[in-house]
Amino acid sequence: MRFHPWLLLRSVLLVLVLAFVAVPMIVVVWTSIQPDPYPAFPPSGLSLTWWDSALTREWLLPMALSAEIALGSALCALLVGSAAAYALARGPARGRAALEGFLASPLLLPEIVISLSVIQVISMLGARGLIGPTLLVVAHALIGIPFVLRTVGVSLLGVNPLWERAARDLGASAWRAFATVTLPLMRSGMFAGALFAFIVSFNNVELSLFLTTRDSNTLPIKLLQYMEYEYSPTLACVAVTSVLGICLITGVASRFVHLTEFIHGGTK
Amino acid sequence: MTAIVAPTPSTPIPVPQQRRSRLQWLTLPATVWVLAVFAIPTAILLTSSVLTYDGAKVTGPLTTANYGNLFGDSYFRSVLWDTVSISFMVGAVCTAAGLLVAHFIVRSGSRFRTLVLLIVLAPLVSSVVVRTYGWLVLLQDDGLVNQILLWTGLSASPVAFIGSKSAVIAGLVHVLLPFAVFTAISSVQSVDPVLERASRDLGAGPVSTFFRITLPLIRPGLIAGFMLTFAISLGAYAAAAILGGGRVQTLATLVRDRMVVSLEWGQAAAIAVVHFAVGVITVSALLLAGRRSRKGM
Repeated sequence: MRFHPWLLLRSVLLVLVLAFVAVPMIVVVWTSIQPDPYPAFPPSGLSLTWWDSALTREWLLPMALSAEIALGSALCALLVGSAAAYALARGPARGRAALEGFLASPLLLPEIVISLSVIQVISMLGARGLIGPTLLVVAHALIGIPFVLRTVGVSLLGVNPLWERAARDLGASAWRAFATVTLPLMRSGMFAGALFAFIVSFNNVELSLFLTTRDSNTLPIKLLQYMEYEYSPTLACVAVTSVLGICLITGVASRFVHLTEFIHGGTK
Repeated sequence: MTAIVAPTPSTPIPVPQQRRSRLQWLTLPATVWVLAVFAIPTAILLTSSVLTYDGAKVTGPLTTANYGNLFGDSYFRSVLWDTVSISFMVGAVCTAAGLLVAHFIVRSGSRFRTLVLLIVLAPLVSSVVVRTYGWLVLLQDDGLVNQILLWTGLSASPVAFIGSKSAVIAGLVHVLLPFAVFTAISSVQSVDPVLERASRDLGAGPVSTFFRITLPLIRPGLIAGFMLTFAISLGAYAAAAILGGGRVQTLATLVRDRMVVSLEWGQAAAIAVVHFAVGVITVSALLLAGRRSRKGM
């Protein structure tokens, strides 16, 4: 290819965009392993001092709570979402698109508005005692369901209903035919959906905003509240820990399923 | 054994009618979930925004005061304008940068394609809060950008980035770029490369091929991507709250202020409805653009 000044411009712009994406992430990691309260330029050395205050109950408890909530809501979304995805794929065609649209609709509206309406209904009912981890599980599952619907729906596309029918004709009960034929083939979609639902919940800010209390703060909300008033490199260590957790889970998961398949299949 | 017949692709899926309608019950839990946690609460919020509030309590009579007070307030109008203009900028920058990256990934044939895709997608494993923290470290008064500016002598005194609209825009673009890249990749992929090759064979350069062939073909996809990032940034809280430093407010931070700080729930509900309306308008525009793009194919 001939040298072209426009192509050079494109490469320069591309490098700038990539730097824009990568630098803040690198900075977080760097902040966690250097000694200064404000990371210095040029760098002044390596140190793990900030980790002492990060790996304390103050931060590990919200992290554990976030993980529990994420696990709970991913499981709820998985159960409810897979059942719906199966019924949508095999049930009557009438009303299917409308129902699909309805179940995905929570993704279309600002989460902060959903958060506000949930808290308002709860206070109207005089049930402020409900605010806590269980409520967060229920709320987070709401936005996990569309992800499970999508991934399970994508994996069901590859399952011929005739296979299940054949099992029925050979004498298996409806449940047994489903459990031995279709379920194993749905598994990768269920896995991917649960993983997405977990991450969406674990990292959630806007939906949790009005639904947490001082005693039951999720990690993102606690980090956010802290950042609004103070700045500390300790937060970098907490952030790195949580990101490593997600990377580990995603890494383990991607050994079992090709996650990009679902991202792709989902957007098409 | 007669039942096992290989299906031709065009035959309808043979599931007994009776079983089909029984299966519908399986969608019930999901439907109830979405109704109870989303549809009913938001419907109540919409209706109660025209009722009288006393602090957090709805006390009754119909009123337009919540909206009257809102639009009569010049501060609210400026926040609304800021939110829309910030989201517009975020949408525009994301769409342009997303297209640049997507075009490189789909068309360049370079050996760095996978690396570029990885770099762009990597931030997705971290939360919005973590990425916002990264920007805070970079942009605060004693932050890395200011140190570099002072060190290189580009600036004599620290620049106050935090609390500026540009800082909020930078944070939001960082969060939303992966989405923009995704949508742009699928639109660039939908263009038949033969068209581009034909244009090149007829003597057009890569730039004019891009602007005269590729760009017009992917315009509907780009509009959809723009609407998506625009709509998400309308409701984004973390970037505005932290990088806005209390000086830049958006609808999201304003709702929280009214709820948590001044306890004016009636105001919060009305703001949420305005927010909702702007969201619905953009989503409908998005669907419309999508439909038009499908027709155009």
